[in-house]
Amino acid sequence: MYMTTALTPQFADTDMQGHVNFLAYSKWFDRVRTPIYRELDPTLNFSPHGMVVLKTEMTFLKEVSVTSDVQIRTWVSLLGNKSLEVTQDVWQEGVRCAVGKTIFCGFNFETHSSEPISDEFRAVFEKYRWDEHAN
Amino acid sequence: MYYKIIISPQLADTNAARHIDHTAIIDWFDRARVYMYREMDPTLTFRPHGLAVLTTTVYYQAQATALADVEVRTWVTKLGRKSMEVCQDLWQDGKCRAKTKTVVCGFNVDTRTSEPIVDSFRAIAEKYFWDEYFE
Repeated sequence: MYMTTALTPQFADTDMQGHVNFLAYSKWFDRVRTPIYRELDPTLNFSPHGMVVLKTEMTFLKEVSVTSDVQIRTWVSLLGNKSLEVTQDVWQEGVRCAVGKTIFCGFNFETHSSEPISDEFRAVFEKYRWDEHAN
Repeated sequence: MYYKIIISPQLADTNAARHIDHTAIIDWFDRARVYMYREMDPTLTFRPHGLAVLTTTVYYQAQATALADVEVRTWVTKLGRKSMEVCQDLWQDGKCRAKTKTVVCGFNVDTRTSEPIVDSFRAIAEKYFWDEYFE
């Protein structure tokens, strides 16, 4: 099931256009994934077994302002043998403002090559698995 | 044709995995696009005619480190009436580390709606048009 995290946008997230700059979203998405990283490895050493980002994609649907908090939902939308997709969306005042998809793969930091996702990691990802189109 | 900028990574761009964090790479690509934005509007106020980012997709192909400068190439691959696509790649030590595609559309900052890309922006985008596309 997805996890919801509330965030307070900061003034430094805005740009000259007066809205939250798109770079802030990538930081937010990463920030709210931290509890999952901690579940995978409380030391965050990820040595030798870790995960790396292969691809990120963000779609911006509506401007976000700093005038109110945002809610970010995070879930695992695809879970394969070696890689997984995490989908996240940003909501403000009940409106869906952006969607981010991040593809990770298992990575061995000693051999510097990709590897299957370990069973321990998989158990954590299973907890956050959700299909937004299921209902 | 593409233009090129050199960036010196800073230690804060790295993470505990001892490589450049993926959010820093998204940041660098935006930093490189600023040179084109400055040509379009030296004041960067973009009022009322501006551009808005619709989607950005980054493909991470190899780890980048803080050990050497990186080079970012930026060019325009698609130029439509209302939107355009900017492609960029990131090189370090002669190897491509990441690629990105960003779709931006004309945006009226006063009415907060999309609009056709104004001719003066189009002329700049045409300067950087290069038919080098990647999937």
